[in-house]
Amino acid sequence: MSISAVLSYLLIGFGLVFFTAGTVGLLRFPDVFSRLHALTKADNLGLGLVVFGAILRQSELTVMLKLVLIWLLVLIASATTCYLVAESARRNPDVKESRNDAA
Amino acid sequence: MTEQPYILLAAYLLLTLMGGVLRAVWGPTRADRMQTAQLFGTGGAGVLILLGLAFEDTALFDIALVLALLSAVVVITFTRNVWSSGSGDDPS
Amino acid sequence: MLLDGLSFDLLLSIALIALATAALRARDLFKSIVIFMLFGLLVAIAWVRVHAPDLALAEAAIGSGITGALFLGALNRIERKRKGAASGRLENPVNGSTSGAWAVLLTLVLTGLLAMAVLSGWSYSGGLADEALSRIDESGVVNPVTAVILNFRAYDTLLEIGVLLLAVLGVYAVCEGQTMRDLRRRDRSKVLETFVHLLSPMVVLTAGYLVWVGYKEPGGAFQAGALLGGAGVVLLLSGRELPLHTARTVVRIILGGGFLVFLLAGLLVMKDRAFLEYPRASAKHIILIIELACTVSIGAILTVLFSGCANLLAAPSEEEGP
Repeated sequence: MSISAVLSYLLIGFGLVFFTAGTVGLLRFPDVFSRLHALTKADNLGLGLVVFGAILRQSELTVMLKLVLIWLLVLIASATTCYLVAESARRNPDVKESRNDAA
Repeated sequence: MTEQPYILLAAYLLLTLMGGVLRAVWGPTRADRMQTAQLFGTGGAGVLILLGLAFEDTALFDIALVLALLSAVVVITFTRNVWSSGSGDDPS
Repeated sequence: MLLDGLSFDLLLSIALIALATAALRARDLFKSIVIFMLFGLLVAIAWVRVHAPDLALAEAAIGSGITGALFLGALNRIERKRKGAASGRLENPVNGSTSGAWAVLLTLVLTGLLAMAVLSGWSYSGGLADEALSRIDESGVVNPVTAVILNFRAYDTLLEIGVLLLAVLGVYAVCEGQTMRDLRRRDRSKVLETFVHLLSPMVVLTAGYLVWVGYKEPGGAFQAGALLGGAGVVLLLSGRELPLHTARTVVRIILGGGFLVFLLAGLLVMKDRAFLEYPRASAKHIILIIELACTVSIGAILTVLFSGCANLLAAPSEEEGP
């Protein structure tokens, strides 16, 4: 196996670790806000690593740029939706926020 | 059609996504359920990219691009139309 | 290794069935809708696995964008009407009903028959696929799906656009005269507006790209139109005032333009040919023009469909003449 293939698998493997972390966070964190956090941050990084791994196997520049574009768009969309959902959840009286008052 | 270990990676990602479905089922608030939709947008793009690598089909990247563009639409509709300020909805 | 593909497909199949069941069994209608949207996304991946990337593209564009938005908009509308009359949670009508049980039984029977047919070694004889593929050069494009949709079976597609047009006319008929729901001050958001600023050009670019690339790769007017429709939905929700009312001519032109161009193209070639039989030399250009017109129309139509069900259509104002 070529070096690019090995690197690609490695990067994608790490990306999947982040995806797993994101989903586990989504399932295990106590309230909407922390779940939102887990989801958007971990999955963006996960997708970024997957994209990076995918780029290593491509030969055409346009395809590589397309992959980077996908990641950028997901980043922008995630940031926006994260903010919007958090804002809506804040204003909604039925949402409970679990507090960890460690201070 | 050359299949490579990428498809196993894609299968694992799919498994992860199915794990996320539990959040859509449990809730408890509507925002939680929508987050699974968001997860599927990002993860779905990931699955499609991995499938594109597995079958060396760059057309699948186009599908991932479309997903990336539109993944926000549903969530925005949710926050602005369904769960808008003070609608005091039943959280499930 | 066949095992790899099998593991993925098996997982996908189980996931599809599980999601479909969950969507039907969920007590809460909102939960049902969300699970259905997730199901739609997996269906797109399923299309990829059966070697139908054009369908996957369409399913991804329509399922993740417009369909979800339409469902949520409709849910919102129902809840507003019901406010105060009933409890907040909407009951899923399928869950626990006898007709639901019959539907499940029928589905199982059909699945069993299908499985029997597939497993008995019945092989697809090819239908018209070979003949169509052999005559692709006559169609003007390279992608066989585009060739069939826009040339060999163009009549079908023309009528499909017609159906969309009828649907939007229906929405206007029902929603005529309702006032625009003013976007409340609190709903305006700089973040959303910035997002729209960043996203809209990208969407238009990608839509154009999809139409262009439909020549030889998966793409085409419906997918691009669905993309534009999704963008239209976001534009509306961010508070942009789009001209949606038929009192304005530009709206009429945009909505009806796709169908009109298609029809005209079909008629104008009739000098010495049949309806919709494009001359071989200019087929490629005719198809491109039709697709571009249809893309814009479909995008506008989907946006209007959403605005109607989300109760956003404005009544005609005095200064807007016909």
